[in-house]
Amino acid sequence: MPTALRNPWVQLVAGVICMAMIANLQYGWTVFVDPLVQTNGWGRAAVQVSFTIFVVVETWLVPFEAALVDKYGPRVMVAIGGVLAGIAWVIDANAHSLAVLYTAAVVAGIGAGIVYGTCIGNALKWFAGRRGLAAGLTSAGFGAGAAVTVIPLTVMIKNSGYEHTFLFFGILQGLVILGVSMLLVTPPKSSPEKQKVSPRVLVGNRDFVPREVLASPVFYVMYVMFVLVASGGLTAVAQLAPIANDRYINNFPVTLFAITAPALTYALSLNNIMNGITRPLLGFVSDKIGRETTMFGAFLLEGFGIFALMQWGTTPVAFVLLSGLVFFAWGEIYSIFPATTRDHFGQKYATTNYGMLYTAKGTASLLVPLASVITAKTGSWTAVLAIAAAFNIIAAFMAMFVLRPLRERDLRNRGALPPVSPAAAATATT
Amino acid sequence: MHIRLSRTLALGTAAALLAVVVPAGTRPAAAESGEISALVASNAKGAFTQLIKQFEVKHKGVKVKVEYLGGAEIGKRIDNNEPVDVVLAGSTVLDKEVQLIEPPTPVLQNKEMILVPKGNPAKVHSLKDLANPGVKLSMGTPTSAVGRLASQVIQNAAADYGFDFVTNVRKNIAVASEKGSDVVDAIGPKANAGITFASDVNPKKFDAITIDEKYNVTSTYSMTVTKNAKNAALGKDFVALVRGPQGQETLKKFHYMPPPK
Repeated sequence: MPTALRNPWVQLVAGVICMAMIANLQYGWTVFVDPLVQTNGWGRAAVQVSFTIFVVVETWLVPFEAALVDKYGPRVMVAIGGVLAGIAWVIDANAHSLAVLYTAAVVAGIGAGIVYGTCIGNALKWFAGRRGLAAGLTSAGFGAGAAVTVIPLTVMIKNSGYEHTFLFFGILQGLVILGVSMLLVTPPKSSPEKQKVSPRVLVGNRDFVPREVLASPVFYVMYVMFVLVASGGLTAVAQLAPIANDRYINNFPVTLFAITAPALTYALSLNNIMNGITRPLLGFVSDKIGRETTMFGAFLLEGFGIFALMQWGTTPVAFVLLSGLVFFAWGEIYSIFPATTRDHFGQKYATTNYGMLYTAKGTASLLVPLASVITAKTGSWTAVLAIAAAFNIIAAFMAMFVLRPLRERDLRNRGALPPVSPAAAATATT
Repeated sequence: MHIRLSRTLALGTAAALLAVVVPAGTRPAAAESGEISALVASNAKGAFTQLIKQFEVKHKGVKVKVEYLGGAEIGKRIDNNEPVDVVLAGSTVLDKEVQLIEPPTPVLQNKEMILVPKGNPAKVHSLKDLANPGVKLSMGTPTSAVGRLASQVIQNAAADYGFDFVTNVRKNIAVASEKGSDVVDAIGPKANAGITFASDVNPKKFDAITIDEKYNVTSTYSMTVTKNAKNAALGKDFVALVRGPQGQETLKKFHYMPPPK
């Protein structure tokens, strides 16, 4: 094994490339929908069921796939994930019945889930002092990949048909993942990164097996917080167009940072940019000032941002800037939560343990349709946004006043933190 | 024998030529039967009730099964690949469905207009006056075709009048309705002004105030058949009738503008 590969940064870059290669399975799908409908005579809704199947499988199977990753290492699992991701699009290229299309979605979901879970897990295991940054860069790679390939996909579909495009990109993406997976190395038992962990970051001293994690109150507190923030963020994004339309600002031209665009288009573009920036940035901040402090600040900012969007986002410029703030303050859950999971529950089963927490994303997405029900009942998006803001504020206070004390107590009981001195305890109680 | 063959050939050629030369929409009524399905934008109900009667007269035995729907619902039905024979919808709807429909034929245009009850109690004389205190406005919701265009008109005007214009107009909204007909019905009983389609003008009940061309928005409505229509030929005949002189005359009576050339 070449020594150069046993470098956290090499492992990180390899992970980001693999993540970028599965991005099209989620973000590139939309350009195939119409050609599939037209060629095969299926309804658009029926074709979109395939996407829902992909997301469900990709999210909910991660814990089981991750268990295999922790057992067999990243190389073999990412190689399998890459092959499955490639095969899925080869099946799509030849799918002439919905049953076959849905089968391809299951295969794609398994493949993408393996690659996603492994790459995040690998970043968590190779890094110590910059764990939040590493998880943030890896999860940002998932979105960045599609940004590069969506135009070539569109052009190829137009020139050569969707079947050829599925085949070409399926094989290409599969081969790249397969090739890059050979660079992945099972991390050492403790994170090898030289950078020391900030004293503000609480880190445990032993590896929890998944069964222990499921018995830990810390896991459930984090799960609830993840669901609160993710559902709040997803709901706010979904309500953006109705808000702009109701306020008669959707098409109003806005000029900011030398770019002019209609207010709603501008806000939606900011979504992708801010969501990408915030993952590594706030992951990095959490490495310096601690996970819970960063969560407190970010979730409070998110709650305030949603409230401000409701109250003051009535002019086009305010709408764009405040929606940018909303997007900025919720994307970091995909870097801070994985880092916190590894900090608290240890190295050995980090992939499985985060995989279990990652299902909170699936739970959150199941809550989002409830927003439509509330909007329909109340006739306005105000109640929905108020709930989303409240969710974030609750999660912020949970970070500081539930999660942090719970983790401190847990780590003290395990001997990972020094016991509280009687003097300090007395000060705390007076 | 030779002469009989030549006569048969000549008759056949003449019949074929006639079929090519006579446009589909003006063909005499033939003995046909069956039903064609139509999805029609709800704001064109009045005109299309008459147009369907004209089509059924031309195609004796053929019934048009029509549904008058909002644009979003029409788009959804096309998305589901329903075998609809003929569709009338705004370009914003049909532009998203190009993969599933034959190239659309524009058949009419519509614009926004301000309607006030006779006597104009709120003294509204221009678009700018809609921001004045005391105006009670009837509008379409932003999800309706009539409301979406009204919103665009107001945003266009705000470029000159300032964003306060948008804020003040929104404050004056007394009734917001999903259907264009409800927007009109509220003018008088619940509102003293409304922004509606020009095709809703009724000189007996309302005074109409035109909106400056600089701010107004023209919406084009087109007809088409879906790619998996069961009676595509009849659907195309209906499109030809609406686009032809008889159809255009009917649409003109309902205050629609002709399609772009």
